[in-house]
Amino acid sequence: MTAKSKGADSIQDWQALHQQWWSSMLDSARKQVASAGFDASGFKPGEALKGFGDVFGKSLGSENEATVERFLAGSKQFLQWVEGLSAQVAARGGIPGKIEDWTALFKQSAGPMLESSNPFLHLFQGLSGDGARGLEQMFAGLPNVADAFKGELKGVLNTPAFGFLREQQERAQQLIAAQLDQQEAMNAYNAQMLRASKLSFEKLELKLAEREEPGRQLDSLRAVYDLWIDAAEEAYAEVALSDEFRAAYGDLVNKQMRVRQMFQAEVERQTGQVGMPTRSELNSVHKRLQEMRRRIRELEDRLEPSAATPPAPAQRADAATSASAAARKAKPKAAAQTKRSAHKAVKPAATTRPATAGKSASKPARAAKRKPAARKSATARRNLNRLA
Amino acid sequence: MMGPIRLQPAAVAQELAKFGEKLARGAGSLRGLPEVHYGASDKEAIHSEDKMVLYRFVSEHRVTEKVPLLIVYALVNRPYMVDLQNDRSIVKSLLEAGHDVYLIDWGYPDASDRYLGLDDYINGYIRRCVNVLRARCDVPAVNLLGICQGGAFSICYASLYPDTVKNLITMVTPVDFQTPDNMLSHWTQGMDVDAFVDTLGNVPADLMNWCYLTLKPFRLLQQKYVGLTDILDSPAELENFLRMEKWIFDSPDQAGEAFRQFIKDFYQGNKLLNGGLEIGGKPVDPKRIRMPVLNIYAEQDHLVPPDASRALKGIIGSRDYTELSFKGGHIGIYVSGRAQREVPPAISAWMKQRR
Repeated sequence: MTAKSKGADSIQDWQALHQQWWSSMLDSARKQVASAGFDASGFKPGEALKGFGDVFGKSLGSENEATVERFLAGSKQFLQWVEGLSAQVAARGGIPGKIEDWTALFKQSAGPMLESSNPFLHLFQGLSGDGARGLEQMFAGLPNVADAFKGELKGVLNTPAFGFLREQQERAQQLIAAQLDQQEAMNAYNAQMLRASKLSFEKLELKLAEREEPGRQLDSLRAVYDLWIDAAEEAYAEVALSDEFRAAYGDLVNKQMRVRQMFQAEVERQTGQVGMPTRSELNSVHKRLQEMRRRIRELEDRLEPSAATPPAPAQRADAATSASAAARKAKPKAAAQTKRSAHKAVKPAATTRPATAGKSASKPARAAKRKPAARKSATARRNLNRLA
Repeated sequence: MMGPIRLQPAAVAQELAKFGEKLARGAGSLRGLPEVHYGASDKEAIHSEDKMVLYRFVSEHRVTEKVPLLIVYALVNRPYMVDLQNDRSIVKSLLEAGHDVYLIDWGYPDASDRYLGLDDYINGYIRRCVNVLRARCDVPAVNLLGICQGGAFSICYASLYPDTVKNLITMVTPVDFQTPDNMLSHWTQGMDVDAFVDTLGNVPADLMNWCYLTLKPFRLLQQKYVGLTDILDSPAELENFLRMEKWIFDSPDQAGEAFRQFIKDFYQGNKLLNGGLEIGGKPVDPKRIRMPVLNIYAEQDHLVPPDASRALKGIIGSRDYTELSFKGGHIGIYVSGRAQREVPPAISAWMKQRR
């Protein structure tokens, strides 16, 4: 079907459709506003999409909130896609008949040359919430001082530092330089996304060509949308598996880490000055804690050799020479003891019912297993005392 | 030649109106849904260390198999996927078949676990869990079922301690981490993982999730949710969707050191395939895996491509090697109807033939 074959009537149909579509969305939004107890009189045509997100999002319960948020974001992007498409159809002089006209229409609905509204970037930036955050979002809270240092001001970064605040100035210069590097890396990454977007239209053109065969035409918006998604995914996969993308991705991650490290160092400096514990200090404690855990388990293994796995043949010699004489001396008694304690440890501690979703699932287990763990520690302590 | 798209204004108007109606009704359905529950089988904690808990699933059926089956799941998601709900539970099927099933739950690492390494996970937690089961069930060796990253851990474990593994089963397990279609691996190659872990400490779960979603961004971030409108009218389907969604986004942070080693040695070094892998200073030689091996992979797996899994055959020493391919994806292999019909019975039958 082409509009040209049906003339002006068809174009009017599409314009009417565009209007009808907005009205329909507006009605839905109004109903939701009213059911949520809000005043719906303020909604106007053209604000339906905005209202859709606000209203549906506000009134839902919190338990499934994250899913609802993603659902709304996905649906909203679909509706924006429909809006763009239907606006293009309504605005142009006829409904496309040729493949290239359809592709042009898809491109126009995505924005001029895709750069103002790259579907890929739009998708990535628009869909982030609880449970998933990209590197961009992780940096959302950090001030980007590099913004003030674009262009010619970049030369300022090379100005030699001197005087009382020399070191501070140098650090600031380094941070800004690192942020500029990061922006460049982000630009290179975005260029890859643009490449994927452009390629997606080539893929779409090929897929549309396949649909020219009789009986394979697309007759619903969802079918057109699904075909567009197929094309977009194929294009993205091709680009994402390229060497250029790999380099851009790695570079972006690495540059972002560099900036983050510099921020962390600055925060450490500030917090250290006011006597707050720092990340480095905590790391040091955690590292020692982990080393201690390992040592305790090593000792437990030595004290309870029957519980330890027989070493692999290649390692047996090492294990034999490294085992302390004290541990060897303790072996017979400990072995007997272990046999007893092993049987005690298998006593069922508690039964956990199928859990509710969430991160609290391990709590009953934690409470339930205290007993055998405590018993095991007591055994280890007794053996350690004996060694001492 | 006809044009490829034949949109009729009236039909499109109707389609959009229906979509709007579904959205409106769906908002009501979503609002009315209670919090989803997961887990089909009761379980008891029998051993724990730090945040790790070893569970035994309580069977309503007679346990006919003496050798316990220990499930080792990945660190990157929660293990309740194997027992998600009544009609989607590998565990339930195995219990029905008379197996004694155990599961390691790694818990949620926090900052104090940043320095947990692969040595701690494999030579530590897994080894001690196996020993607990050997003592408890009075057997010299257990059956080990490793899933995804947990499968890679199980291969390492079985290489290091072959005498304690009677049968090894791997599910959607990567062995060759550098197949050409492995997008995740491709992206990690240019990463300075030292800088990454030194900066972030533990790797945030949200970042991991984002990374997985961006492997298929349009399908997973958009199309899936547009498709949700089709099932908004069905509370049962909606509940299933929400449960899966919960699982997908219920991810633990990754202990920094373990992440560093896994990316360096497995993804960047591909040492499980190429050799040279050491865990805690102990060389991992998969040729020492001489016990029977069942390797299950998914044909449409975008996270662990089939070739990545099939590489297992070439590196182990076992003469009793079986492959089972499943028509589905990385997640479908646990939860689809087809998976329930095909996978657990195949695992059970295979183990029973190798008592």
